[in-house]
Amino acid sequence: MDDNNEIVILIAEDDDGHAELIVEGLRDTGLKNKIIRFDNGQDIWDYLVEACKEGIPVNNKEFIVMLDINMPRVDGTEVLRRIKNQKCMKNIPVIMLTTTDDPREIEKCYQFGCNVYITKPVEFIKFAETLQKLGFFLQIIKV
Amino acid sequence: MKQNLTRDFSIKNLGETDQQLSRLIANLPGFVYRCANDKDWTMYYISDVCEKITGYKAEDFLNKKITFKDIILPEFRETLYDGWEVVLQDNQSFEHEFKIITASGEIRWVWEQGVGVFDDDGNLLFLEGFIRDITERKNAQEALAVSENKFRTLFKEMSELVLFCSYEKDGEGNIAEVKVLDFNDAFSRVFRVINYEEAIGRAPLEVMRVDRIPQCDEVIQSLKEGRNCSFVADFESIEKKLKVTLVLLQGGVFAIIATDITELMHYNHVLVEKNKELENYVYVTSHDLRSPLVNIQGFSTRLKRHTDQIAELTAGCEMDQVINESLTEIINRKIPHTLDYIFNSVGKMEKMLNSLLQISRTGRVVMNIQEVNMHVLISKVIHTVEYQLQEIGAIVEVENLPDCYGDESMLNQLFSNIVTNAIKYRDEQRPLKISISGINRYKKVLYRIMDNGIGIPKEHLEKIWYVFYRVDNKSVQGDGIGLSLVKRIVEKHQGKIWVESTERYGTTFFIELPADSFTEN
Repeated sequence: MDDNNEIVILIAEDDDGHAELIVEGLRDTGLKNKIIRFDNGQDIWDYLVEACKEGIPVNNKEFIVMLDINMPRVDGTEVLRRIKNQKCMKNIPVIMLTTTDDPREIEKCYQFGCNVYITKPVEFIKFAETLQKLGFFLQIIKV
Repeated sequence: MKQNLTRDFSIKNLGETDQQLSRLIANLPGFVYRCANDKDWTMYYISDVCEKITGYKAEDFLNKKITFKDIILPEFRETLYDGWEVVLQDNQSFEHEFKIITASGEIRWVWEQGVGVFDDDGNLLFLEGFIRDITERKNAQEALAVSENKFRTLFKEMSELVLFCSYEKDGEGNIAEVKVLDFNDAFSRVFRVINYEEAIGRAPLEVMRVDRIPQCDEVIQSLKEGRNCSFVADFESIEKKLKVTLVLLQGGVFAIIATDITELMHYNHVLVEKNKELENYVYVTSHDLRSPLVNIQGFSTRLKRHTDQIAELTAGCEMDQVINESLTEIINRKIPHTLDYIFNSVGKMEKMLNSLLQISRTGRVVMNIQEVNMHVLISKVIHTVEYQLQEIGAIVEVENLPDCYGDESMLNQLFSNIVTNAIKYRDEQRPLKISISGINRYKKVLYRIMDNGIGIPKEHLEKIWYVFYRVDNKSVQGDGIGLSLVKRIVEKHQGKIWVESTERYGTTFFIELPADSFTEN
């Protein structure tokens, strides 16, 4: 197992279909990392808070977070804002993965400190390509 | 004796034959008379001018062809008898105004002044006096009364508030004193003035009983400069919004004319809110609808891959020929055919959702309002389609483009859409010609974009602004939102757009945009 595989990918996505397509798309690129999926913003936040408490040095990129924007309880931009304001989490790479290409929404995410913003295209081939690039990107990221 | 006297009361017989006297009488602006104090006012003498006024000759009266009573309208006769009675008792002079009917049947107003002439013993000899025509003055008076009454009624009943005030300037030209002169019922209602008499002569602030008068400084400034002004005033303490016009009148008087727009403003606010709600609704639905679409597309793609996998897996298998043929039919034709429909529909739906999103975003986006150089903007618009224009050999004429105010990128989109439409809907039979011009119109600029394209059939003219409306679904590529977007942009600029078109000859778009800076609603 190489170093890269130790990175856990956390996905917060309320739509089951989207979650499955994302996971499968990533797996298709050969990504073997552990993937944990949450269906709302609160749960992924709670998970990260626990990890911090347990002293997992999350700042050293043990996690990569992928967030959908429109989610129940706590939405993606709020989770992003909290992560980037928390000392022990702020270096976690955050990828926003949403259906909206509203320039203001994108602007807001970058202001909050997101690392990558990806629009889920309806065109699946494009989506698969995006995920593939993302997969390769994740594989390249080393500590 | 008395009888004798009454018969000899003509002027001649009294020896007053002086030519000067008769000339004087002839030149009076009326006629003189001498008559008996009887029911007919039997004439002893009447000067010739009576013909001018009554239409009857002096002889007619003297020969009793007609009596003076006959020409007085019946409703005045009693009053005149009674009037004479009173003045004769007190030896006073008599003065009255009454109507007569002339020989030609015309009704005229006359004014009469007369006295009773008595002998030394105090016996009444005759009546003497002067009568002149006052019809013109009376008519003018009546017209004035009618007009005054009309004005009063209008003033009293009108829904606009009217307030008249006097004002004085001190030595330095400052407004020293403002006093209420008059106001109407509408004013009383809004400011709850109970006692009209008490209010007159007081300061406006006392009469209106509000904590402050909005835009008071502006009013004072206008009075100082001697110019009219208008503004919207918000009287918060009485929850009224008024559209006010100040009109300066002569003699240190001004009028305030105001329309109560409280309700109008309220509905306007409701409408704006509803519009925002609607826009948000469009945004949320079009956004949320994309989510399931991602799944339909994504899982259909997976289905396609699985089908390919089945094809691969079954390729090497030996099986019954009938089953094999059916399987091949399903895998190679039926499933791909089904998926084609799914993908096509998803594609169409996504396009529509994107269009809706684009429209709702145009409505929600905050504008960057600045002066726009229209020549530069149109050049940019044309530059982006230059290749297409050259390819089809189109001519674009640009002239007289006044600048306007607005959001440059929105206006670019507006004019791009219209120019692109002209290219799309050109008539292939002749080279396309587009003329773009503009004129200044009171605080607005009116642009005109004319083409010689295929035109728009009359029955479609109203509907071209609707989202997804296409005059002809098949002929030309397009998403069907261009013109709704255009309309939206124009409305955001508080402007107007309309179209004139003749089928087979061409279409002209008229776009009115602000010539001055404005604030977004």
